[in-house]
Amino acid sequence: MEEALSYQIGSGKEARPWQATPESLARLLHWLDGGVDSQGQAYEEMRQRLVTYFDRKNCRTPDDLADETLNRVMKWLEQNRKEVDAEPAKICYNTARFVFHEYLRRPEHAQNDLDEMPVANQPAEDPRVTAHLNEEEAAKEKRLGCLETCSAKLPTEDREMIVRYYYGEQRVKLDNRKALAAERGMTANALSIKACRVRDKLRACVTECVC
Amino acid sequence: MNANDNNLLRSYLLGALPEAETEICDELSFTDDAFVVRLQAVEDDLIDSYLQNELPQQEREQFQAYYLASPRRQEKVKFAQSFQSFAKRQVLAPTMAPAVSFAPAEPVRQPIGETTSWWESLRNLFALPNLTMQWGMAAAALLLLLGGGWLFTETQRLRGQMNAAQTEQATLQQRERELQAQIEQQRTTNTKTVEQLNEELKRTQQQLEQLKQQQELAAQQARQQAPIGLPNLLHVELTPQTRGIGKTVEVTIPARTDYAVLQLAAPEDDFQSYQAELLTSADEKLRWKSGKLKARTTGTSRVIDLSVRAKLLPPGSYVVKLNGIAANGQAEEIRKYSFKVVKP
Repeated sequence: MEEALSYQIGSGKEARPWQATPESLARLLHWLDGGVDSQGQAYEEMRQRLVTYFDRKNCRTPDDLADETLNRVMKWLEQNRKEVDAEPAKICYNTARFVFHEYLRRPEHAQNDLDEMPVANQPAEDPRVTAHLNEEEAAKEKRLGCLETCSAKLPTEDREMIVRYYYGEQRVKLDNRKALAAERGMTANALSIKACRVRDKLRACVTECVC
Repeated sequence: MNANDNNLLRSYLLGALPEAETEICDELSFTDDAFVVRLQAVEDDLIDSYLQNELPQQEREQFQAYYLASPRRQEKVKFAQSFQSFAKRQVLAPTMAPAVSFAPAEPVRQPIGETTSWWESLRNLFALPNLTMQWGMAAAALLLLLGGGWLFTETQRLRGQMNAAQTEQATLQQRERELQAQIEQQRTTNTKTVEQLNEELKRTQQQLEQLKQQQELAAQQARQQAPIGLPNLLHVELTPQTRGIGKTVEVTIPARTDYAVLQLAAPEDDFQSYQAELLTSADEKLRWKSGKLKARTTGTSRVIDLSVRAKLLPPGSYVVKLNGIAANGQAEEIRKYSFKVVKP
């Protein structure tokens, strides 16, 4: 199946670039939903996974590459013009792999810009960093302010839970978590998932607030 | 998922897995919802461990070289840093709203939660038939609570001794749990005498006393020499500017200072929060602006702590403009504080 995908959607080289249409987008949403109308949530989740995938590969433009992947999946769906049974997550992943390999082959990718260098290889005193210290300090304060605002929007139980879950270091942190799980009658694993979800929600709210 | 799986996920996040395993994880990060959530949890813990300096040297280097190479992930680290400060603030400053209490929000389902069992046991103590023991053990529990509270405050003040104090606190809490278990045992078997429990109580008090002495010693050491890796702070008390001729506060900032903590005498007006601006006196140029600040009570007065990076304060004259932020979000300038930084 991978070879077929490579042929059909893996290549972005063509005489006339393919353009997404409202119909092709609707088809993609429907296909990702798998028969249940998620109001675009399934699309958002898949896009987020794609962005995370490209970001984890240290690509410079994860958002663009995610959109390019979804465009190719849309095109593939349109060319098939029928119900496609293949698992959407798998198709998206395979397409993303091709997009990533193409990205690696692009000439501009070889550019050794300061931004691309791992932090460890960067000069100890990056002049741009020094110049932005003031802004960074202000941004930190703003983030804290946003954290207070966003945490106030959480249900009290969730707010208390994540503060207790993530507070402390080493042994203290582990003891806190053990006690918290016991109080709530949850397994450590279930508690960590719950805490992670709440933290993620908080992070999204803070990101929006800071912007 | 066990610890090995977590280690594997950490390696994946640090770009340290072989290609074949990386591809498996890549695919799972699309196709397996449980994997995605687990990976996120491991990532959060990895970031926290990095910030708390808990990563082994090799992982720390991988984190800096690989993980921090992405601006998006750098943002996650910044968020985590702020979140840790926020959590600490919530726990350590109970006067601040919405503060988080370590008391449980719901009844305990298993009697092994430490904070819950304090309250549970205190309540249960008064149901015991032996009044001497009830009050003895209540005193023991209260002493432990007070001891824990004292430790907490002291730990916060010392900062540099944070880890050591937390370990001690955990030990005392463990002891407290043991005493509670003994109460339970006493209730059912009635074999342990009040004298024995009093003896235990005395020993716990002695331990607390010893701990107090150690903390005082540590505090002295911390004052003499700031620990490596922790920010060096300089505390400066500032009173508001008046029309009369007063002496400007002169501040000498030692070379290795990271932050100057300006303690502003807070006004009596009851504002929701405050915000401060640091300006140069000569041209009133803005050098730095704070986020939302809260006043804290110290003795009979109230102060607002303003932590300013020492780098922002080269020798010269400065003014701090304090704005009060009303409940409707409107800011109003309420006070000015001036000071002069002189060469060490």
